[in-house]
Amino acid sequence: MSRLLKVTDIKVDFPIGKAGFFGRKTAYVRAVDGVSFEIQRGETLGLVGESGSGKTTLGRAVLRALEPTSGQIVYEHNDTSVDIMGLDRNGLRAMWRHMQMIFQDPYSSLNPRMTVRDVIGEPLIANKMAKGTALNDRVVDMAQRCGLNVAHLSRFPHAFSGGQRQRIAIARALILHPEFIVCDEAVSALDVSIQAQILNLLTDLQVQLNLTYLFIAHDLAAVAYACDRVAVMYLGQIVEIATTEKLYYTPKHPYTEALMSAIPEADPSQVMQPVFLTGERPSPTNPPDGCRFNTRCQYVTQICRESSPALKEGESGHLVACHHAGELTLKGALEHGASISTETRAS
Amino acid sequence: MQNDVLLDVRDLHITLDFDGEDIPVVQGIDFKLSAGKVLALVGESGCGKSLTSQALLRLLPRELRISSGQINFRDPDTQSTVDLASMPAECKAIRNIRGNHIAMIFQEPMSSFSLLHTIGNQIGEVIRLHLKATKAEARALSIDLLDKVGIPDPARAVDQFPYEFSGGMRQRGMIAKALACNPSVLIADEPTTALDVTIQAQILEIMRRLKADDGMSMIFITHDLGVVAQIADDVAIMYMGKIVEKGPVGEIFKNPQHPYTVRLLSAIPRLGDLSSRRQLASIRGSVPSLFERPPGCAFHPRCDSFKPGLCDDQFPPLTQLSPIHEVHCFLYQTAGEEVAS
Repeated sequence: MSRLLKVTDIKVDFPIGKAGFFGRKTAYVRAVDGVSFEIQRGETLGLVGESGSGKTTLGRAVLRALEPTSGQIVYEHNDTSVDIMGLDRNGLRAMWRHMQMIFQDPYSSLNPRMTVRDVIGEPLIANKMAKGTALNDRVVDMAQRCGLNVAHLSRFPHAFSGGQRQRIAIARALILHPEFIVCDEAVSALDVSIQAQILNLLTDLQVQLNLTYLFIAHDLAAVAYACDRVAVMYLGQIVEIATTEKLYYTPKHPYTEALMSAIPEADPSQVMQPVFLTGERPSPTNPPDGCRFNTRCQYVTQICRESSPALKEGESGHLVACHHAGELTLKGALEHGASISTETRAS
Repeated sequence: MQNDVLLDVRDLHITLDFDGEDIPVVQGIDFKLSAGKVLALVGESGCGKSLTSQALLRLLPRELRISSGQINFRDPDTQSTVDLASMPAECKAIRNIRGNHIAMIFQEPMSSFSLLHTIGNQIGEVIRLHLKATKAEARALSIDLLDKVGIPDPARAVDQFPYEFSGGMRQRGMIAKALACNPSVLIADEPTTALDVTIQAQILEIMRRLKADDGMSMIFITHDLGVVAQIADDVAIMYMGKIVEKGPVGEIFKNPQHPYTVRLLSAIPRLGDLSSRRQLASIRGSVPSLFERPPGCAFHPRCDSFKPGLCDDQFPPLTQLSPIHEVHCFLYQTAGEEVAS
């Protein structure tokens, strides 16, 4: 596998509060604070974290759909390294043909005044890449790949259910044959049975079209299912990245442990025994000194309050930002209740 | 009514008034809630689970009404049984039950509190209305309740406004408010859906303790089968306004019988076996709209065991697979008849 994307020390600031008299901004909140990671061609990297952890902001910043404050983004395209941050507006627009996004809410992401055919075909027209019968052929082909019926194409989005709308949004994102897709909570708003259909569709399309996904979600079970590797974010920073199995079964960061142990497994004989986090999540406007998790971590020591741990590689491919990463033995998903048999539960 | 049954819902129908036309939304459901038990009503969006829970307290929106059926509630103090479905929606008797004997918590902790009053005033209002307590007593009780649901520094929190609370704290505040009059039944409508997973675990733990320590009976509305497995004693699976399968949680998860339940359970991503990932079973098609309800068993267009002429003709009657496990499906109906003959 070759590298597709390398992100280094990316930061995103948002101004908060009112602008001053001369338009000066008074304060900033750092939504993403020095994040670095790589994505290999053809893989799915999951990005998880609680609301407000900065995962959506990071997803957008990687595409420069939202302008990062600083950092480097290098994208490998046709055997050349493209510096995304150095591109001008036209250069960026040209690169966006290869990088697309799928959003959470299929109700607000589709224009209600356009037919499905126009919605899916619009990127081709905007980029002057096809017209006439060629345009129609490509729209029909992509719609069918996404499980839509040709008869659906002349209808408007309101005639479709959430799952069908998400298929339309996927077809629109893929019509330009991009290489890299940011899926921002793409299955979160869907019912269980439909979520399974869309997850399966994304996987099939990945194989057929050789796609690379950045899969942002808060549903940890769906992420485990869809991703090769997973990164965990807390207060704007990545605290752990590893392969899915390693991250879920043998987490090395105390925050990952709290997340994993809190997943309610759909099995009544597996009684959940979560590691409860104490206190409230600190505000991103005023993050704690040292390790950002130190205010809620049960393994906290003096060093955690003083210095911020770097994201370091312990085992190969398993990166953790914790001073005590090597010393702690942490619970993974499903480790709870493994010893509790069905009989004791039933009684 | 049996002694330990608090709520006995019989053949409940809810219809939507759509420009003078009656559209059936909930079509004759039956369930019982026993003391100290958690019953989960499970289904995908549009199955009628939330409307059922609202109907129990007569909180249905204006365009919806209970068209027939009974909601028998036994008051644990007086031991008298009343039919909530037969009462006017705004009578004194129902107000006395609502919040006092049966309390409800909602999905949206953000919109369930008034922004203009302190948390303590809002919990205290319930206490003063129902228990005729003084302001000082109400305040003291509010602090106790906030403490019980795990809010740190309850004496300070009682004077805070909802905007000062995080989402998880607001949901705890909601539970505290619901518990104010020590109700015998708690109806929880998707109480953890809007919360992060670590907060969800905390809320589930509070609810589990309520059940274990106080013997609270609950009706838990959710679409999340993981949450159901962790909290429920009994499960009723709903599809398009009908209960299709009902039984104890262990039985439903280990031994599901209705094709919808079987497919639903295999469609959830599980952590137990990550090596087999990326091949989820899904249910083809999607839930039809209320106005295009398929005749007979509403699941038949999506079902692999569909029998033409039977499933699309009539809704299958109840089959009692065991004393505790019920299903509505012709697959078992024929089997049952064979055994009988």
